[in-house]
Amino acid sequence: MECREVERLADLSLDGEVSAGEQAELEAHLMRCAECRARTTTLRWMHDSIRAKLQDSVDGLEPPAGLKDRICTELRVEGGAAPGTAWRAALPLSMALAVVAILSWSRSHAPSLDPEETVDRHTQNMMPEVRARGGEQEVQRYIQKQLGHPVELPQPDDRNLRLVGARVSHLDNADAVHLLYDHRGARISVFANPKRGNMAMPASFSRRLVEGRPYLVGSHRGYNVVATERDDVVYRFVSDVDGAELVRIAASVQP
Amino acid sequence: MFGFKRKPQRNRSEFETLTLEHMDALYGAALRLTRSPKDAEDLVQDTFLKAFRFFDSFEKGTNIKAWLFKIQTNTFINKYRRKVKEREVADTPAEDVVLDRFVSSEQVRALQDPEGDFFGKLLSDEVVEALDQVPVDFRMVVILADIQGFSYKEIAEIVGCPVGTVMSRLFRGRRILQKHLYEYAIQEGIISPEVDEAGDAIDLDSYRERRKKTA
Ligand SMILES: [Zn+2]
Repeated sequence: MECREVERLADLSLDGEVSAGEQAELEAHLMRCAECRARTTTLRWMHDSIRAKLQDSVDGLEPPAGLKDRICTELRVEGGAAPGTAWRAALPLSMALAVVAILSWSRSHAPSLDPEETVDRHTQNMMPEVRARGGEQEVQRYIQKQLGHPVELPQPDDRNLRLVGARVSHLDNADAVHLLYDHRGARISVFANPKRGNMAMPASFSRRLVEGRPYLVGSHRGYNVVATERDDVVYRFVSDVDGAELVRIAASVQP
Repeated sequence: MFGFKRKPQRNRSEFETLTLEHMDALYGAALRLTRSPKDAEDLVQDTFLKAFRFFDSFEKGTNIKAWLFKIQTNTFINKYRRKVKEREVADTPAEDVVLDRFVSSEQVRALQDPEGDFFGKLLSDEVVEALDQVPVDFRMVVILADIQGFSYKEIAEIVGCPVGTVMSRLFRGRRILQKHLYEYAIQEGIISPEVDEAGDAIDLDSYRERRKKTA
């Protein structure tokens, strides 16, 4: 990676929008390039301060009194005729186009309810606390030390799936192991946590059987989520790789 | 992609339950976008009405906040953007958006000074004032990313442009904002920039020239 490429990647990295592979390359460059290190440190610092101040500015900001009432009144008037086909025919063309845009947009986001927390953990793009450079054992040791008991790492039967590192996270009010994988440059998070009762399936998810084993699949905020359980451990896969591909990857994991 | 379609019967109370809690966020964004409380109020009102009319097209369980922001952004672009742009051209100095490095060496030095914890000490109002000076197309993505916390993908859907455009606008918008604040700090005498040493990579042309030779 060149210094010039660091410039563009630095922002993306702040937003958690780089793949694990890119993140690793970025970090490697920063390790050996003092100039870029100073720049990205300054950048992060400026960015974090500005972002915090911007958020402060809207925290507790309330719309003028009366706006809500006005909106509710208008909705009541409008609601007299239930939304349906009648008003659509009367729409000007530009509005009709907007309808199409919104329709296609909402279809591209498959419905889901529960996976907010899971997707959140994935998109926060936290750094791994242990890297798998020295092999899987290092990750195993780390997890055992953190949780006080060993956790079986999934053994994917997919040579393109590379374990990058891990950290201890929290899901469903329980400790969870967050494993970070790289799959041809795409970032895949695998969360493992103890099964407690039956997995509730979000209404928007569907159930798929692969080789007789059930997988819950769905997507949330543009990320695909696949959940499955093995021996009282729930595994959740989150990534922006294609949904069918993610199911295939999840199914390749040997218990 | 997974998921399935359905077409439930929608009603007003369901709409209100789902959407009203996002009014504060929509208003906050509208205010930063239009820079006018009156326009912001109108924009939010338009957004809710339009959303209610289109409520049939909203799919249950998808991100309602992003959906509302898409409607608000569309409405803004169609109805208010020209007005806002005219106002901006009239009252802001020509923006020099040609920026050099993402963080200049000068900034690195000035801000590394421990007494120069300038960005940390900034007031919210000062940052907002600087944001208001960022041209509207760039400001829009900064608001969605840094105030609302949407992902690039979501912003691309909301604004209706490719993810690559989101990235470059966000990059540019943030640089302009940082530059405004940095210059504000110098103007206020809060930090003092050092003179650049010769050969520093601040000048883009000479930087690229040098790169060409070493490449
Ligand atoms: Zn470098």
